[in-house]
Amino acid sequence: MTEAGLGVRGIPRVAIVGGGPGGLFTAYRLQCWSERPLEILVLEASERLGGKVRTGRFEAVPVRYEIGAAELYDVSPVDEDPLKDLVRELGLPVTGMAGQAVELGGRILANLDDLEGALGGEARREVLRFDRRARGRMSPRQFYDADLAESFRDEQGAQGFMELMESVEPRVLGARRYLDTLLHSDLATEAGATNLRYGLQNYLMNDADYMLLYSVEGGNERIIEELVRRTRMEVRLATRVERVRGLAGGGVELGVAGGEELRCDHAVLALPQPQLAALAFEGEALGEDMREHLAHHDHPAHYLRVSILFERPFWRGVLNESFLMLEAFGGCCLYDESSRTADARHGVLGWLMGGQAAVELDRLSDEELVAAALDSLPSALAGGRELVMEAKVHRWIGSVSALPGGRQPRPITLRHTPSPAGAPDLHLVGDYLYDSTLNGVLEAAGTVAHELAARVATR
Amino acid sequence: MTSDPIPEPAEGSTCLTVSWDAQDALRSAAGPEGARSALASWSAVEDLPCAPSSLQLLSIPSAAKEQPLLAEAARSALAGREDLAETQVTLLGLQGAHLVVAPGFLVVLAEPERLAIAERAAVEACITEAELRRVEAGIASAWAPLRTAAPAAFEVTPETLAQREELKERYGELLDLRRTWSELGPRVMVPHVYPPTLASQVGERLRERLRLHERFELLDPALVAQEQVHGLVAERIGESLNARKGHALEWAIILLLAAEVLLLLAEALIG
Repeated sequence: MTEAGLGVRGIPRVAIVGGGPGGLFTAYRLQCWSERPLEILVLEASERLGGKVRTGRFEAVPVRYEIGAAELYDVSPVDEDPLKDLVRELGLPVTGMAGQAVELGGRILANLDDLEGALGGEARREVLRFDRRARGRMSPRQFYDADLAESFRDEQGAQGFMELMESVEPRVLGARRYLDTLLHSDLATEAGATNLRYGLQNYLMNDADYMLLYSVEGGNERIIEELVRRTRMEVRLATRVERVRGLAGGGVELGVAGGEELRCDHAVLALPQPQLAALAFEGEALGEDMREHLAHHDHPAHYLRVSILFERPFWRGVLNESFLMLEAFGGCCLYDESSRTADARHGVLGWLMGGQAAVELDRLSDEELVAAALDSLPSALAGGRELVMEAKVHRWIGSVSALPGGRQPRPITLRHTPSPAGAPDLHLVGDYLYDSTLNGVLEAAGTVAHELAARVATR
Repeated sequence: MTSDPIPEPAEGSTCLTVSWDAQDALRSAAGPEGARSALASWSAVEDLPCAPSSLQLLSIPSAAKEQPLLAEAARSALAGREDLAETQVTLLGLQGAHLVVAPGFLVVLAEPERLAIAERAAVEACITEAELRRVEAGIASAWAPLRTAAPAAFEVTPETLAQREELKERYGELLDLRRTWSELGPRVMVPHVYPPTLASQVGERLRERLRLHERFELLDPALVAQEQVHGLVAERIGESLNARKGHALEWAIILLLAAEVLLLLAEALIG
């Protein structure tokens, strides 16, 4: 058994399980805010840091594309934006992203006039009525604070958003199709499987009064690289934690694959929900509390990403924004990855397929998925098939939450310290606790880092 | 042929000169050279007295597939004009519409049923840009005379006083620029519209591409600096003029007192 930590040498030891953005944000914030020296140990099961923040390059030509998180949310139109502040603090340049077009039946509808032209005036009016209802339910301030239990009461539970969607006049088929296509990819689930709060967030995020979108120039993974460069911590890759136990006198014991046991003053589990569920939580109280926590958050959502490199961005003139929503796959986001780079000679399109369609498509081979993605291009872009140079497929099944925060968000302390009796020094960080975004992960990391910094200072 | 009616400009703001009957010529022009010769005859037919910044508009109803070629022809033609630099020509593609914009010129290519919407929104953005450009030019041209006048903030000379009327005139012009700048605010800081319409997208994209927001904000410190220098100079000249009047009064009192003393002396000698 490794006896480091627990006051040995007088330096508190914090073990962070998971080297994704949650773990690294926590380590960085802890380093910044702690008034005492800390020993920070990051244990990552895979061979790389960064988790769902991952930027890849093609082999044929080294053109970048986003494998994981495609964009960051800028909530500064409403209030402070800690993620944007952090990106600025890390010295990373950013590019704005925007996309308002929806493809329906092969026609690209970039605005209400297009919608009216394709589906008639009643569809336009119905979409506007839906928009007014959505705004009436959630103001920009409520959108900003939606993760706080006291800010937005979603009394209708999971059915709330479905009811809102079903308020669209059923006779106006086009309006419902338009809204389903617009929303499906962002939700990564079906309207009936999420709640009003999350559904509204994913609709209203399209409005600049609520938030804007941006990405980091040179790839979102630069955030991870900068955090690693600036954080003093010990990182152990390929180290899988299998067992967690709260110690009677304070502290946490972690059982690592291979038999090693690590003791620390505090442990932070910064893992996606499925990996968290795979851990063994020892001790009656901790086991019970974690079962309850996992059950509360057990609402998996799914993504598949197909990224295709083309000889040139042949879609310019048809697709002029950062992304477009396709009707295929129940609603799928098509990113113009090359729009992130000025003067891109080659073109990259990225399909983000979500929800039940992603589960079904996951049965296909990579080649079949690429063919399905190319088939989904509207007829105006069908000629691009001959320009394909290389394709990549990445599968994120069960990696996000369809109901982040659960049906009703829990109080902040219970979200992050799920077992105050069984393991008071065990903390949780994850996007599923807030809103399935990097902003939410940072908020979770900040909350835990504050708590740990305070506890370490008074220990 | 004058194009379709354009929104009436607000009172006191820019009017529009609209011209052009060579739409068919441009449509049938073979490539940029043909378009250039077709566009050579493009000129204003009206010269409205209230138009500080004229805008020449060419609206071409066209199908989406023919728009890129026509837009490139128009871009090329405008870039080839001697009075325009190539970098001043902006080409913007939207769904079902293309716009080519240069200082004083606007080409709108859109499907017939959308032409009026795209045209209206583009004209509004272009007129705002023209007004902003006029304020920019006014501020730029004011720096040199202001530099000449600035020493008066420290020392008022007879030459400075001789320029008083000219300085008053320039101060009035500066106030006019400030007024125009203030009036432009609501036209530059337009709230985002969601769900978007073609008009809102045209307006937003043009304002973004023409950098109206940044340019508008950059003008404020320049106006403040010029207002401060003018204010200082005006204050010093005022003080100088007041001092002159004060001096004359003092001399008059001195002379009266001297006369009184002389009279008293004379009375004493005679008495």
